[in-house]
Amino acid sequence: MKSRPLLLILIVTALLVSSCIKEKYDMNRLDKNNRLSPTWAVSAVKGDVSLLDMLKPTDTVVYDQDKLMILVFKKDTVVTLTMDDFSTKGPLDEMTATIEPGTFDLGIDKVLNHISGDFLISSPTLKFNYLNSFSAPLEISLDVTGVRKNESVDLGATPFVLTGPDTPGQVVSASYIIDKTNSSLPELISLPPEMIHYSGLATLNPPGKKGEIAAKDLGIDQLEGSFELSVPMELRMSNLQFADTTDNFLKNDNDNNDAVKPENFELLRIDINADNGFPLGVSLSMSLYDSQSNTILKTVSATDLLQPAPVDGNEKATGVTNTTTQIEFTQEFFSSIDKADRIIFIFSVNTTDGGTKDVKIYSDYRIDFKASLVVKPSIELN
Amino acid sequence: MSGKTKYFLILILAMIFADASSQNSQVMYFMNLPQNHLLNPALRPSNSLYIGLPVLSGINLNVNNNFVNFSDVFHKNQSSDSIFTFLHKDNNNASIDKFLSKIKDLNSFEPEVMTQLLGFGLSVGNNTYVFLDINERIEGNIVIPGDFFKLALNGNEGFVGKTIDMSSLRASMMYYHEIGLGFSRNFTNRLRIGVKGKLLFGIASASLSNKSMGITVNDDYSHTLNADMTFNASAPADFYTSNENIIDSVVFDDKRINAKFFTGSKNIGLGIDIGATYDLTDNIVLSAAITDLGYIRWKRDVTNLALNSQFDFSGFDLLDVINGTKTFDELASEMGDSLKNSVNISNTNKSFTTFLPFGVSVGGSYLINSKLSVGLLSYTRFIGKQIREAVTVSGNANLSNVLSASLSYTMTNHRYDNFGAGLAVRGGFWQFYIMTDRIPVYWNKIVSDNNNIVLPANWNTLNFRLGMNLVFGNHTRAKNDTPMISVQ
Repeated sequence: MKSRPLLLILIVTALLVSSCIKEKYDMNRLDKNNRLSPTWAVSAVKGDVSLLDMLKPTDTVVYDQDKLMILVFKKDTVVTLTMDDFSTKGPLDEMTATIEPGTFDLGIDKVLNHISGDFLISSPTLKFNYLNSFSAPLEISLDVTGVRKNESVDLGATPFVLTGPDTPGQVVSASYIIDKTNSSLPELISLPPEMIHYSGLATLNPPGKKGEIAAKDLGIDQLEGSFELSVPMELRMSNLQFADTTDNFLKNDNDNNDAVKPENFELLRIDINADNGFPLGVSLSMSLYDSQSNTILKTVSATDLLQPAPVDGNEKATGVTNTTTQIEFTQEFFSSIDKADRIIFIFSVNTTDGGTKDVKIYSDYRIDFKASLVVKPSIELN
Repeated sequence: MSGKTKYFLILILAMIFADASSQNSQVMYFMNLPQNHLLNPALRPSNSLYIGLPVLSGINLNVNNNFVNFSDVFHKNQSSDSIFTFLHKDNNNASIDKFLSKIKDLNSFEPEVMTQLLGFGLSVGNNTYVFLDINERIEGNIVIPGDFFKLALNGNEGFVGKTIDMSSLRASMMYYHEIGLGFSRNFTNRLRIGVKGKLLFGIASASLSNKSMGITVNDDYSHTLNADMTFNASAPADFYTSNENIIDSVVFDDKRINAKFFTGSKNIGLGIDIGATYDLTDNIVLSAAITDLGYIRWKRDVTNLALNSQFDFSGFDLLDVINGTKTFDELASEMGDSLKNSVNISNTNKSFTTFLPFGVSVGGSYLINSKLSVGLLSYTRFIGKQIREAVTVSGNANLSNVLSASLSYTMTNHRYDNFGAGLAVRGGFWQFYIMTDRIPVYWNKIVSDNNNIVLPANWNTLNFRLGMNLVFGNHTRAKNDTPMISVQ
């Protein structure tokens, strides 16, 4: 009787020990298609930069005493005239000389090729700087035309009389300013022109402005003139677009074993947060383009990459506008990369209030931005 | 990968996936075995003399982890015979989520091996029992923060606005000899107290301790890293640093691993076990013990590395790039330099101290009759800041000092399916014993190439103890020299 409990314990023990096989795992059939796709978020770049940080003063980019940004383009030797160039034209002492046709190349044609949309520069000035030793009245009539592709705008400037020396032998250095009050310069500049063609006529003792010295009695006097085009950044833009097409740099042409390939990403997202002190709003789109089929395959866009800062009555920005944007590249986008041979970028720019009012661009405008990357790589573990 | 290598890896994985236990032989506590004084020095066996033969006397193996199981990593595809891992691409992250659901805040891996090189116990008079043990012990403890797994598998996006807390990351491994000499005796008719003093000789040690380590991921995805860690090692290894004070190589010196290495006495430590039993009534015996209270001072081949770093990364500041004073490459290079400069590593050779994980046992047994008893045992193990708790209920049988058997049920670390068993059988003066705290109910058969291995399906703990003793004087005790388990 005493051994009965012990027997029971032994039986239970044996039952527990003799347990059964539950599963069979054939590791020879281990499927090797393993993948890891963690999501990593990291701040990538940041900056608190002013316009002055981005654009240092140069011969072309200057800032006036109020820090207003001005683009300056110069063309030397637009006019060189001596008495030998003049010939008698009209009655009395009136003599005329032709200002030889020339071209003022602003050097922005490559940029302009990518620009479309409404654009207005409000207060440009074209300064005619000259050295004049003609002591007789000298009137200049300029024919200036801005040309962009098939479009052109005439300056429409009225003839003007140069300041001359009071006594023969002296040389006067002076300027004549052509602006929106006496011409169609804003319209010409807002074309905006790839080239500015000019020609004209110089007239000594023009009708109604005859001097005291007969033209034929003048000595070795001469005139030298140049252009200085100043474009203050006082402007308005409405959906001004800058478009550029590049080769598909995302495409991996080689069958190499790069560790990181675009198609290995399930997601790539750029999070941008910006305090924009510029009265300029920017949107961006990026399209994968197949030139063979003339098809846009995939597009990612950020309609409000930057929103413009508010401006006051003096057209100056009065604060910042905060914008948070996410630019998301999905796996569908990445899977289309190999089918595209080109990438089209389009930047759209609007000034404050949709380009309905002028804004001024000052050197102390700032933009404080942070850009973060969120990536979800697909790491194959085969 | 060769079949043997795969076989070995599976075995290692299986060992890692064994779940947490109390690092104790809960089953042995109430058995009539000379080795149970290892758990409470006040316990004594019924025999008057025992000799534990070198190595044969006892081998104890514990390999535990508290996070995932074998089946959490590998599972059979329902529609085919293929074996999928939790990272399989068709599972669309579901398996990873399931895997992570098993991950705890503190995930520990604790291997422990003890081999009894020599054991000796002798009854002196009716009341006193003297014993001597020489043991080889290897103890490891690795704690991996749960955030580490979440970070590795899911990335950092889930931590936005939070701190990835790695402060619990630590690791230690100790290999040492233990020479213990102790005794127990009845101080009253009911109270028996036992004490064992231990001299410890450290062979090798490596430990990583961590005051703070974390990565704060701010809402704007900027990161703040901080680390304050120390690494101490006593091992035949040389740590080489670069000019920038970065550890760039560790070279183990095989030539120093010789007989002198294993018999060295520079790394000395002391330890103590203390325990008591109290006969509350003729049938109820209470007991308590503190074991493995001790330390080792490591002085041989010592390397101390201390790392302190505070680093903020909020993206590359493009101001200098925009204004043209630097290139982006220069900026990236500067960022790398500042990260390096933020890491202060000191390399010294000062002796250091490690403390043994100690345990506290509190138990009670009720003698049903002269052969059967039931026991209740609580064992708490303190490993640094971690506490392991196990509560065991057991049914125990002793038959004339010939057979001792125990069946146990243990609740430990939130697992309630640990059924254990132990058996000790004596034939003449030979005594053989074997026990485990957990008997796997279900098994899996793993086939790799032409090798087969059977592993527990739900392996909560790999705990195994077996050995052989020479026991003499296996007489039936008189009532007044009560052992822990009374046998008439």
